[in-house]
Amino acid sequence: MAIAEELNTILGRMRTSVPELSAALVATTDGLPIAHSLNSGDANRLAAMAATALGLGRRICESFGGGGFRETSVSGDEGQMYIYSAGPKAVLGVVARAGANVGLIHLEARDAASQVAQMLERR
Amino acid sequence: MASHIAEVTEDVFSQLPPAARFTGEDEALLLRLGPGLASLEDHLVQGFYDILFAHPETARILSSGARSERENALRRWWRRTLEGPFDAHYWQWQAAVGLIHVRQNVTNPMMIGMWGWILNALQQALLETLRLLPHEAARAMEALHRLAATAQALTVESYMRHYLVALSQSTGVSTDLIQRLVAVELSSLDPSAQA
Repeated sequence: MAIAEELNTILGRMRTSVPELSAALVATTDGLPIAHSLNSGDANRLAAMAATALGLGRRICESFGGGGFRETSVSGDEGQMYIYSAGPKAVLGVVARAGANVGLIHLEARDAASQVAQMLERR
Repeated sequence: MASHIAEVTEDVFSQLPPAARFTGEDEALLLRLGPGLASLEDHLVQGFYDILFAHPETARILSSGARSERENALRRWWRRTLEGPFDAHYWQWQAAVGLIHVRQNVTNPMMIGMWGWILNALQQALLETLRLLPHEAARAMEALHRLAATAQALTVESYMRHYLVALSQSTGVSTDLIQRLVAVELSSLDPSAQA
């Protein structure tokens, strides 16, 4: 199975488990989108920004002695985006409407990020 | 992206078309004209800093140090340029100027503008002070323009790379990602709408 196909399967399973998610993407740490399920918006831009948040998050963790970066989030009035480290090579970003079940999102997205990391490690 | 001065210097030389780059013939010519050009030192240094201290934007940057120290830096560069050799050490010095300029808030318009002033001052002096024949002065100016282009390319590229690398290191965002962000952001920008 091709990388993008395998990643899309992981993203699809996650979105089925959390119907409140409106979009999800996997990008390289250099900001290149590998797989995504965006109905609207610019995947290139969102992937680059997710990777930027990942890089900044890693540096912040290093600076305060927080260890390896795991995740960060950005919340707006109408929606939120959660960004997870998916191993050394990738980042997972998920978008949800405001008021979505954050606990469920974290539960499923952390598992998905782990799967992405393992999958890319095998490659 | 390489930011070590030696690597920046090598990269710039690989990008500069040979016809636009300072040559061995240019070096020989400048060294031959060296004694005459050396006599222009006071005129160049005086004029250079008169201009910079008369302009509020540049005077603000220079205000932190004594004028004599500034002048000595330019004198050292002028003497080294006329004595040669134009070796790796000389070109790496020109690249290092880019890093120094970032630290001192010297902008590229300031640097390029003053290079233009130096070239104009030299052109006038070659004809009126050193009394070279027009074709000799023209040939000397060709060499000086290639020197300026090479030095400016090194300084500007080094300026940009150190800026990017500092940004990259402080934020943890790789320079490849910064380049990607720039490409994504500018892909939808219409240059004609910015004019």
